[in-house]
Amino acid sequence: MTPGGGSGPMKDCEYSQISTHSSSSPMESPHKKKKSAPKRKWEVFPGRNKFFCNGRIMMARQTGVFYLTLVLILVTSGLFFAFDCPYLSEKITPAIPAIGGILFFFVMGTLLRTSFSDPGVLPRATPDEAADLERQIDIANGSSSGGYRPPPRTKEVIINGQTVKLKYCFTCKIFRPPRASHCSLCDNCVERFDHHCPWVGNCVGKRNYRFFYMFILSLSFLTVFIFAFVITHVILRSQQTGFLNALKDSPARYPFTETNSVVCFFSVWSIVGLSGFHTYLISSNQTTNEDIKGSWSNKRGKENYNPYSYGNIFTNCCAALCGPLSPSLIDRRGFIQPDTPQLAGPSNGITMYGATQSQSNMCDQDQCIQSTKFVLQAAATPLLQSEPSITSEELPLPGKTTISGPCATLTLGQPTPPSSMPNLTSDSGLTDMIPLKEEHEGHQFLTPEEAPSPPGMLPSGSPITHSHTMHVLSLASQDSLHEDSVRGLVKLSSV
Amino acid sequence: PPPQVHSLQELRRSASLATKVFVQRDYSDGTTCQFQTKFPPELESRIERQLFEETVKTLNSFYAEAEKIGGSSYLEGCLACATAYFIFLCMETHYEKVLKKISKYIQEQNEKIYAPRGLLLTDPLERGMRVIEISIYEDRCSSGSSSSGSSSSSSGGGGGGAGGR
Repeated sequence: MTPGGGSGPMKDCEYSQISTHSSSSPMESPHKKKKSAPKRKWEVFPGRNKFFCNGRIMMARQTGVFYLTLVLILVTSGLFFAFDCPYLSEKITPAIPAIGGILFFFVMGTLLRTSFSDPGVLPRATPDEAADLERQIDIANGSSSGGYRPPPRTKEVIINGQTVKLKYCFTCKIFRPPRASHCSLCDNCVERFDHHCPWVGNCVGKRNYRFFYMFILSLSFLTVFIFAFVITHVILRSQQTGFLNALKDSPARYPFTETNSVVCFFSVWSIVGLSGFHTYLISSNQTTNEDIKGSWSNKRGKENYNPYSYGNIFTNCCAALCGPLSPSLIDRRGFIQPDTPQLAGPSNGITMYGATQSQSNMCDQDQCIQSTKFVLQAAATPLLQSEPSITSEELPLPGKTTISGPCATLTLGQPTPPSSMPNLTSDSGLTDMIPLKEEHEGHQFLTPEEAPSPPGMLPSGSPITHSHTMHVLSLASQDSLHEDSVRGLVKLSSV
Repeated sequence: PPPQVHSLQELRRSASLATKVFVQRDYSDGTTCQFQTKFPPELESRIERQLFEETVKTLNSFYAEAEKIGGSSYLEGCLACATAYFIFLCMETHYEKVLKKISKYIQEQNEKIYAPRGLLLTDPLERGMRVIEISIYEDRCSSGSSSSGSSSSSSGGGGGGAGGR
């Protein structure tokens, strides 16, 4: 336990709502264990990311390959500077280590920027937004209740004359903006999603694409540079002492020269190839995702063209590399606002009005009634509806997709706008469950939707009981909806 | 600042949240940040159409300015690249500067136009630049004031006012 806290460890147990052990940061500062310490938003971030330095650094969950990248670059460059540079700077010019140093510095800078920054993650929808969207989807579908399969949730938009389909993301509960995609490894929707790069330990998206590109470009220059001068070194030596002697000498005097050359040789081809590929992508203003899917290729149809391209290569390149850098939307270091709206803002001068929190306290009765209505409705009609595989193209490089597979949603009756609000706490309860459950194929989840006007039967219950009921419902939904609703009814009636 | 902020806080204390309206993004121009200027029907009785449209159009122009690709943004981009992007550690980007302007504008609009009408704009930045969230408040204190279009009729039939009378 923390030494020197004002209240001892026993008192901390009373304040169970602030569970400091739930945060996943390896660098949690001890003062957070004070009973009134507000949490920062990164600590409750719903995606699968790791945060360091109190939220300043953001990476994907699997970072092993990133450390490998670091080690490879550091070791190769280190060996170059240690063993080849002294000889070369004497023999040829000291500009060689200088240029090498600059390149190395640039590579490390861009690598760290790519790995540590937010790629353009879209925050998940607030419960109000999600409810509003669901309502609009219901209206658009004609509010047909009963055993119909609703059409897949897509919206069509015309961008520069080209029809683009916007897909609904079930994890984030939003319609994805054009060019955004959901990364299954990080469990986030990312704007202008390019790909998830394990070498960099992060997704590559709108905000860090230019860093990624500069990284691979400078890395290709660096590897070519090192490779060329290692070869030069060997050649110069062999001119002195003969080729075979040079090779014999080099392990003794200049160890790892061959290793260095070998590593560089393979890296050169792959990295240079990758740089070339991304140069092509930038000049045509496509993402890796789009290119692999062939979204804008002529093979799909004569009328198919890329609506985002500016028309000429130069403008495309400038826009991608020198365009404005949009800010991070997830506000990692901001504090989570409690119920009282605090206008003395968190970081970035963003003010939170906190309205969503306050109304959940006011609407306990309504929420209780809503849950009852939901269960009754569920029991009344067989409402299991399965979506066709919604997002089949989640990610090009890693194989897994979490949102594939039949996914059942429960939609009910007529929408009533104000009563959508009380579903806040129950919604958020389910939302927490959903990302975990989507690992399994053929999962189902329940969305407590608005229901028709209540018979007004139940007295007010505590919200906690009802959120527990909802949890029970969602847990049991693996079997069948009908069984659930009956079970739920039993639970509710026992309250 | 205190007097104006106070009135917004008073709004929240004395009024209860009735519903929220979401103004969605308009993607017809591509991925640039623009919001739809279509007037939401729930606001019909609360605010004049022209005021609302002007707010949204001004916001759209701010975002267009932030994302403008032109001489100054190229300069900033090239300078940043030349310093291996270390310059971002000390300098604020053009986009961030415009966002601050937007935040001030929204606050000012709230104080002058929206709060007196029982409405509250939320900065789109807090909603992931997806929506402009407009909260509609019912005045809890005044009796029989629930006369705002669709929201009141359904709240009358539904779970009976959140702030029980």
